[in-house]
Amino acid sequence: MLSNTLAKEFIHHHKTLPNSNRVISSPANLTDITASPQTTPITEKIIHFENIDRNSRIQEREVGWWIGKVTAIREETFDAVMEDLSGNVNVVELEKELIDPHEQDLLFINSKFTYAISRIDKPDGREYKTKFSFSSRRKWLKEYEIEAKRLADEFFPDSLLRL
Amino acid sequence: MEQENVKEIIGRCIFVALGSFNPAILHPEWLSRHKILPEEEIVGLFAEPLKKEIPELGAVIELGQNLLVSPTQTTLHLKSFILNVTREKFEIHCEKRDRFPLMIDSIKKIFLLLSETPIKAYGLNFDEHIKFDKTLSEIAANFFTETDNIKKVFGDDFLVGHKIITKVGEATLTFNFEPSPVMDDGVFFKFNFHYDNDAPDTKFIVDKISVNLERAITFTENLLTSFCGNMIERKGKIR
Repeated sequence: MLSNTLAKEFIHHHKTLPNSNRVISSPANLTDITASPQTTPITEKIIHFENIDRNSRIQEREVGWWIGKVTAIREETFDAVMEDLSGNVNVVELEKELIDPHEQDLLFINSKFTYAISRIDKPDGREYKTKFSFSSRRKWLKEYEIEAKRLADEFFPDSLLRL
Repeated sequence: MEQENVKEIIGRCIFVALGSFNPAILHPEWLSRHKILPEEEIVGLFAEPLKKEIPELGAVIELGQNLLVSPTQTTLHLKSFILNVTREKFEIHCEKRDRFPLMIDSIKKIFLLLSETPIKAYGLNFDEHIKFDKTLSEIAANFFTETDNIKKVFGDDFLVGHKIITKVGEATLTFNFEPSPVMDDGVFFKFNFHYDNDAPDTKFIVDKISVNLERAITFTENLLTSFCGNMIERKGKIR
């Protein structure tokens, strides 16, 4: 019977898969979902239709996306290590002009950023767009120390230590 | 395990990660700022929904993309998939096979940026109501032979549903099989490919999710082709 032959083939192939650990048990933390096979009855009086293509004429396609870390800063440029989604790593030199003026204070050694290039097909022609954004983590500034000391004094007063 | 007659049977996928998350960070503006998704996925979230009342039915029809961002939950109905994040769970529901690469790239980007997120495990789930050219009984017989002992208890007229837990590569696979309640003679499958993480970071997702999804789909479609025949129809939504 064809199905049995296929089933045997499948079992044969299955056995060749790398099984490092043959002790099988249910996962402790289930990453299954609670989906039930029943269709969901309409229980709310609002019927929501998703995903209307309000801007269907605009199509943006990614040309490249990298995550980077700043390694050196110079007067007009900075160096960074950038990694793409395939894990390819490049060392690059970028111009400071690339940075949004509002994000200038986020440029420091080890700050993390994303850099993306995309292509947008619009009714009036094709455009290329670059986007550079720092991760919102801020560097530790000198003036933070005063606030940190105030909070430390509030939550850990000297009287607490005299117990 | 390549078979020439394997067609694209898996049409939707749910990604689930367990750990500790900050739902509020996954605001559409953050996704846009870091180009995690193309603009057309996000722009509709900021538009006012169009509402139309139907007094005869006492109902309101709402057209638009849902958006909820709060400290305890974020739900974004994007064009290609639904993102739902609570403090304990990160889920993406993707109903379109051709959007799987976008889903995987988005997951990689998010966890490259939030690389210190403590994640315990992640799962790739395929849940499908499918009608094949073999009958439900034939498929059930292929997966689980009905023994005389079972017939003594339940008689000759019963439907079989089962669960198999096994290892497939690095994944623990939980495979559920049930008669579909929404398709006559159809079957309902749930495949959960579960991957545990011992490290305190997201590297195990970023490095391997692409190849793991590919392996999970190949395994599932080869299994279904071998045991179920040709797919005739698929129904229902993930949830």
